[in-house]
Amino acid sequence: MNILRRFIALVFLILYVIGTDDVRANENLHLVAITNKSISTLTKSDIHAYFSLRKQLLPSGNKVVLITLPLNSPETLRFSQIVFDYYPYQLARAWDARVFAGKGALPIEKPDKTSLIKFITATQASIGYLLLDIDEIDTLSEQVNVFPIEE
Amino acid sequence: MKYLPKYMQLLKVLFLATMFFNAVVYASQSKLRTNAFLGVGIANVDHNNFLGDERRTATIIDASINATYSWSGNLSLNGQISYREFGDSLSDEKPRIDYLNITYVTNQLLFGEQTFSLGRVKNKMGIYNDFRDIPTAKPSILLPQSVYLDVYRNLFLSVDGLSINSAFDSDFGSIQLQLALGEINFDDSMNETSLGKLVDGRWREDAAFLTDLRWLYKGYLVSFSYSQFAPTFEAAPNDIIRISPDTMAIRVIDGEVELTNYIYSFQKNWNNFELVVEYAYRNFEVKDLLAFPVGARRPMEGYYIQGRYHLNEKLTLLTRWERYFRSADDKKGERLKALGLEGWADHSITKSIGLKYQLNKRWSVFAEVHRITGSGYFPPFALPSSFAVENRDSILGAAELVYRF
Repeated sequence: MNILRRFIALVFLILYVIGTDDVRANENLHLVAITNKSISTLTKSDIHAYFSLRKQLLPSGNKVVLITLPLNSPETLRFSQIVFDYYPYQLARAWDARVFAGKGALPIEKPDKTSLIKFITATQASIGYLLLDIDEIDTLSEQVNVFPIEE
Repeated sequence: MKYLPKYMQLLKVLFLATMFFNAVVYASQSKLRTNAFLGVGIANVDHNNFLGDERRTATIIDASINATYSWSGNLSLNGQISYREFGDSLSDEKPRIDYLNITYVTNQLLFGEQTFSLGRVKNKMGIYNDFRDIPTAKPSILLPQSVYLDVYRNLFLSVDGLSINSAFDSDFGSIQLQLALGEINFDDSMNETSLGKLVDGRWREDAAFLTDLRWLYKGYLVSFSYSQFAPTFEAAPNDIIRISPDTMAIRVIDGEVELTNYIYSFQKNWNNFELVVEYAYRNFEVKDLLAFPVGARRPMEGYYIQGRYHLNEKLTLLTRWERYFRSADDKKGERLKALGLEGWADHSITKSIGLKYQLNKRWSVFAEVHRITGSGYFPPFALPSSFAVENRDSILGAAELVYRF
């Protein structure tokens, strides 16, 4: 029995160590929501409602198009922690709960920052998130609307 | 399907995997959106009939594939085919249409957002019911039976009819209301889970009404669900239910069941830790059905407390304690004792531990152990069979590997 307990403890220790990524935040980077120019206002609670898939429409009546970066990206980690108090995989499970109950559509995943910006610039009613420094926020504001997400 | 030899099970899994993969690849190249998963696992019990009479080990299969086609931003056609295998009594007879509906969403009426769905819709009842077969989303392979009785899973899954969902967001959180009205749909496994293997009659669909009201605010969820079902049973001439001792049997006759469910739920998420408490009260009224006076009205009660700790990004640990009473007005099982059965066959205490490990975006693995005292929620549900009352204490273990397409 002692050997079994030690084995279980060892398995947990291994799972704990290999499951822990370096999640230190770069303090020069700010979490922002970026939207197509068709969206002029967006609050943190709107972002929460849209990305939890419980709200689908903009006030104009248009259906929102949600864009994400990969689950293991630093942007998704920071986004899910700040907006939802979740790890990214918890957020993905919450999405599965809605998607497989027939009550929502999974966000569209883009592989990197460049393709996300390109997609949002070109797509009506689209919303995504990024980590940007102050200079990047100024530059991007010409292409898309940028909304800071308070921490 | 559940009696297929093992190599056929493997072929079935490979077939499902290939079909899902092709569908998701096809959908990614078109406007159609699809999602799918496939879970395969094993369950083992030492002393109870949860997986089947005298059955100790069973394969677990969970599979779903869905598709959504949007004509416009507001109008869409949604469907999902699902299959679940979990022992002899708690499996689907064949792949089933889990939902199939036309949905219209608008925010131009009243306030907030209204979603109207016509067709087969999933039922919101408690926190987990509408995704009770989705291993990546639910907390454990076996849901807390005190509230989510698998023996009545057929009744709870969906209705064919109309569903209206309203969601209103404000600074004080989100309020959501679902109203659904329609017919229940059964498959043949309902006979076995409710009345046992010696029954050839049929459960008939009847109207069901469901409502669910919930409030979400800063990691809190508080909800109340009410539902009403009234299936009828048309017995075959030689239908019987056998109880302990094995020589004793009761004749099953035409009858009707009225089931009213009240579920109260509370959930709070604190980043790494999640607490869930749910309480279910069911009023179960039987008209005829058994040619024996077992009580026309039976209130049932169940509750549990569950904690989940997210140790890191990938590993989640679960612990749960639950209590279930098949007869809430007879918590010591005196009525069963009068029949010569054990009182603990009418209630259960279940203690569970489990883990989920997310290997990467696609793969996850689940494992859990349930220590069960009493056999209150074991099938058949109408009366405990001799197999269900062999042992007061039993242990059920399960593990499952899931791939998300």
